[in-house]
Amino acid sequence: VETLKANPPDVAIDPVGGPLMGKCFATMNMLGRWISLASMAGPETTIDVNLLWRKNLRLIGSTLRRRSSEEKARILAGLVRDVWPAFEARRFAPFVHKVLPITAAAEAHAILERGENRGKVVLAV
Amino acid sequence: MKAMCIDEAKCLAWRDVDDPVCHGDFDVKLRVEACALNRADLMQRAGNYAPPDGWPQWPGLECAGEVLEAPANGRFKPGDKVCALLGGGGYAEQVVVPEGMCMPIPKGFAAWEAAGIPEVYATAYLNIKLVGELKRGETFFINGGEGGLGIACIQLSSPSTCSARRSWRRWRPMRTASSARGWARTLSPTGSKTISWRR
Repeated sequence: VETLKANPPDVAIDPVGGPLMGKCFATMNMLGRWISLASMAGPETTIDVNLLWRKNLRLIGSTLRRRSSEEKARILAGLVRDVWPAFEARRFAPFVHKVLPITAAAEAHAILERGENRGKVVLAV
Repeated sequence: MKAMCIDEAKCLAWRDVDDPVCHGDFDVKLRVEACALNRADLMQRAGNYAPPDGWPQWPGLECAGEVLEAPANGRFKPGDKVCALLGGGGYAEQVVVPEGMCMPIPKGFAAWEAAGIPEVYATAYLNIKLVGELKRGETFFINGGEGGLGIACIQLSSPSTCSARRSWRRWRPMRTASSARGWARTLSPTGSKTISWRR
């Protein structure tokens, strides 16, 4: 929270939620957009509603999964247009934690359950 | 074909199932070479997440592989390498998916590298660019920067993808600050600043 106070965010993406969310939300910059994706740390937090109008903030919920196929197709077309050149120039790459054979899917699930992965766990078919 | 089904005991079982069939005019059939895990797969296995209508019962929200069948005048042809966002069914030898949810595998990428692209990069792209409208010079915060999504957000919030492309070369980590809670870091001297947080 101290780091955020020193660097008020304009855009925040939050898959975590939980009690800390409200404290982080309070550090947003004027006209900030807070995008909530999930609540891995729990669904409840305390937010001072006054902050919304004082700082002209927007609190937004967003999910990819519940969008229509047409909308997903538009998102993916933009992704290919804007991000593929960076992949192909190897400016950055997806972060793969481990590749396992599909028959070891249970073991792969256990890696996610234990929270061991930093990046994606992939199954080779 | 075979698919990794969730059995009665909520265990994963590699079973024989019917081959998937293309229904719509824009469906393509893929031979899956690799699929990637998502947290929803664990929820589905525990019985807390049902795949949407029209998708297989076995898990798998993204995959990469080779096109086996495609519509005659479509974007893809048999033999093309693609990665795809799925409603489910990636843990299998084959899957059928609308062509709009497929993307060509980036040149030089193996299937195992590309399989994990669709979910996290589409989520990062959607929210940073389309929903959040992150602009050059703005500060971006990702809560939980150590997961697949966090890493993709750090990559995509760098200057080229939210505004001017040329500033990529000058992009580098600016400062790493440690705290008792974990780490936080600030990136990118020329464009937007990214702060990520490890819980």
